[in-house]
Amino acid sequence: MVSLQVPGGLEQLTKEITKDCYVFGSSASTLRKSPGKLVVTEEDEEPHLERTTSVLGLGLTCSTCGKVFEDRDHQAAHFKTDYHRFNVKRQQKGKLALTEDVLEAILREENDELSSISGSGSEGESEGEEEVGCGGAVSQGGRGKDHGSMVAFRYRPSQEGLEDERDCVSFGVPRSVLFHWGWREGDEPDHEAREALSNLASSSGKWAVVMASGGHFAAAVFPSGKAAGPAAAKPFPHKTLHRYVVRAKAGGRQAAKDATGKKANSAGASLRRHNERALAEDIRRLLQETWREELEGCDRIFVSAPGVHNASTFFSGKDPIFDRGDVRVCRVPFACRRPTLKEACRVKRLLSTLHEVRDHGDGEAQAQAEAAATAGEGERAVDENAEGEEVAEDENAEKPKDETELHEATREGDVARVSSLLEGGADPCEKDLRGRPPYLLAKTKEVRDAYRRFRAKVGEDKFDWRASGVPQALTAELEEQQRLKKKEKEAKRKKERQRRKKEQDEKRRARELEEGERAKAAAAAEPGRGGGQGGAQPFNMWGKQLTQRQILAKAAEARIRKMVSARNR
Amino acid sequence: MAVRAVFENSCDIGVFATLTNSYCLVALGASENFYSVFEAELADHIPVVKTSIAGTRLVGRMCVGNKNGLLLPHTTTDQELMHIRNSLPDEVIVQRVEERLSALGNCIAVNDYVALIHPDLDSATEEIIADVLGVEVFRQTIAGNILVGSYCKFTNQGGIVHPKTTVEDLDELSSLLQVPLVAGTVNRGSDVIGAGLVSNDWAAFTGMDTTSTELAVIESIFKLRSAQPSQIVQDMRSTIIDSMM
Repeated sequence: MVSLQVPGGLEQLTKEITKDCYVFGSSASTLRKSPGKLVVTEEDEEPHLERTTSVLGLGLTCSTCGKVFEDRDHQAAHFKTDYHRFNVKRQQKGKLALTEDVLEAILREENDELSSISGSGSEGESEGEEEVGCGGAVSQGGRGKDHGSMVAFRYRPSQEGLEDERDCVSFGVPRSVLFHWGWREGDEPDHEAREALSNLASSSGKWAVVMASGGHFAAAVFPSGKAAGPAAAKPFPHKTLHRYVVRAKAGGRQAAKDATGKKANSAGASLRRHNERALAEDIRRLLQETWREELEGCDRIFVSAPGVHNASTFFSGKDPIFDRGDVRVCRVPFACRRPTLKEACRVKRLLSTLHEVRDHGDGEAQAQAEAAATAGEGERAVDENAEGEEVAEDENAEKPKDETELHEATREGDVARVSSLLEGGADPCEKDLRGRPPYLLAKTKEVRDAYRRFRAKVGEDKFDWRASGVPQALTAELEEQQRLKKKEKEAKRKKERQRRKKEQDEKRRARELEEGERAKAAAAAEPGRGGGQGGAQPFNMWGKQLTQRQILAKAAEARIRKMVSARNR
Repeated sequence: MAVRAVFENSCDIGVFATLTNSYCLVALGASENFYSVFEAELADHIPVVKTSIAGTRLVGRMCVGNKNGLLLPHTTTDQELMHIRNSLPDEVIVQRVEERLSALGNCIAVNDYVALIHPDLDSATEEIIADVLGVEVFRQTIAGNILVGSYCKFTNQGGIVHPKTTVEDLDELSSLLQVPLVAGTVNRGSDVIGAGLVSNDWAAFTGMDTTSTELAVIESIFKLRSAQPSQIVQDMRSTIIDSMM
């Protein structure tokens, strides 16, 4: 009667099922650290051939491709095909051979993909060749890849009072599928998660995936997952764009380079600047004009835009394409490869899957889950109040597992609290769930200095400072030295500023002088046309050096002379 | 007969020599001993040429050939090419191959009719192999090893492959190559057959470490017991006489 298949499609969720789901491990902090990391083992989905062994004897076989032949001519012909060569190479990589039609399908798909890439080049066969970080941290443990956090649910059919644990199904849903980009956790995260799940079940399931990074852009609107059969197989709107914006060899985008303040004026730089603008404009036109209706019909829009510059394409500007607060806009919670249609399809597939919930490593999560399950046994049916108490208890019990108070204070940049915690005996070497000592979370110099001062104070032997990540101790004399150095630097800078100012003054004065002289020459030339002085330059008795005053005086003299001569005439 | 030989204290003589039905290439060594072994056995019938290839002594691993031709890697110098051309019989075509995988001896295993090649070789190289050596070319691996030239050695009479080859693969390969095959070792258990053994239709040379059991296997699979160039004529004579009677 439980008809949930895990891992399986998201479309299995119906209103009825979500009604009986609850968040796995009933603590308020579940959402902050749900029991499972979203670990997806990427398996080849193509059907494989079993390695056949020779059936007819005589060796008229190809054990690589699992084929049996009638005669040697057929066998020899087979060994010359691309299909055989492909399988030999696959076998070399430790993969199983493919059947002929699967290979053909793959080749066809690759051709399609290539035609839609528009200058992106081939993606390469190797997995994880180019990963673009975004959102969650990427850690590679074993074969499975960390795909950000998910919320774990447990489905318990409420009919017929089932007590048997085996009838429960646990599954994980990527957190970003449930909550939109700008979501802030409220007072009752569990409740919110359940609500989000039932919303998800009742939504139409038409999703869009929009990805942009490094001058590549890909977007696709996927039809409703519930529309099974021919409707699902219909072609869906998709578009990929590419422009040259990344600085060749140096890497990084031109915008990022410009933001550092060093504005390059090379031809390449202006080309890239133009291309950036053009790409942003292309994206805007596509999403806001061509696809306006398509996107309005979507109930989830997944955006993968790692980094400030990519995100700004979508979320900033006069008329932003998406609004961070929009409940439909969600983030892609894991690292993606270069944006292509294929990658967009992969993202969609990963996000629309009910994932298996696995504990990671230490079994702690498992224990937590079990505790929650036993606690939930009796009380689940009773009422919500009891659950509230349970929540409070759990929170206390679990505090130290996540991160220490020191981590929290450090992240918030609370220098006083960090110092007092350290004085109070907090261990700066203790690591949080992700294995980071608190010092690593410090964002400001003040907080970092607090740690270094503490190091100076307690000495080198008290803690394993190497593990804590705290650099060289900041002693009083070192600080004094730093202060002096800073002062010296400041003085030097001041001096430099003054010198520059003086230089500029001088330059200005020289310019004025020159201008004045020119004016004077002009003035002198004008009366000279009628008078006896001719066009000759006036004799400069002072040599080159004429002061401002002299210039003015000469100009005045010239004026008077002009007036007099006019009157005489 | 199979003969044991050693090249400057190395038993991997397949690295330092190439042997076909129409010529033999031997590396330039500090001593004449290695060359003398080959000369004593072969000089009456085929030319034995002392040469280096691409400035190295790894003659056997760098080049590959059969009675029809000889393929040299692109690293071969012009002088070496000229020297080899001048020393080999006129009907043997000598050609340089522009191939990324330059250790042709490791990547290609060949007799006078068929060749097994490394799956990653260029298709252009594949064509050259087919044209120059006059063989049918198959891309295959030997017991999961892509270096087919290193892990097997076969002549027109028979061949030895990597000891871990399965019976099915052995059947398949022998159907492909049309010669009887056996899985075996040389040099007291070495699985790098191509490096431990050079052979043509009537002579074989193995490393000094090869045990007599291994030698027996080699002699029987390559049909060397009765094999002499004169024996072939005798065989032919008896066949002709058979048909005349």
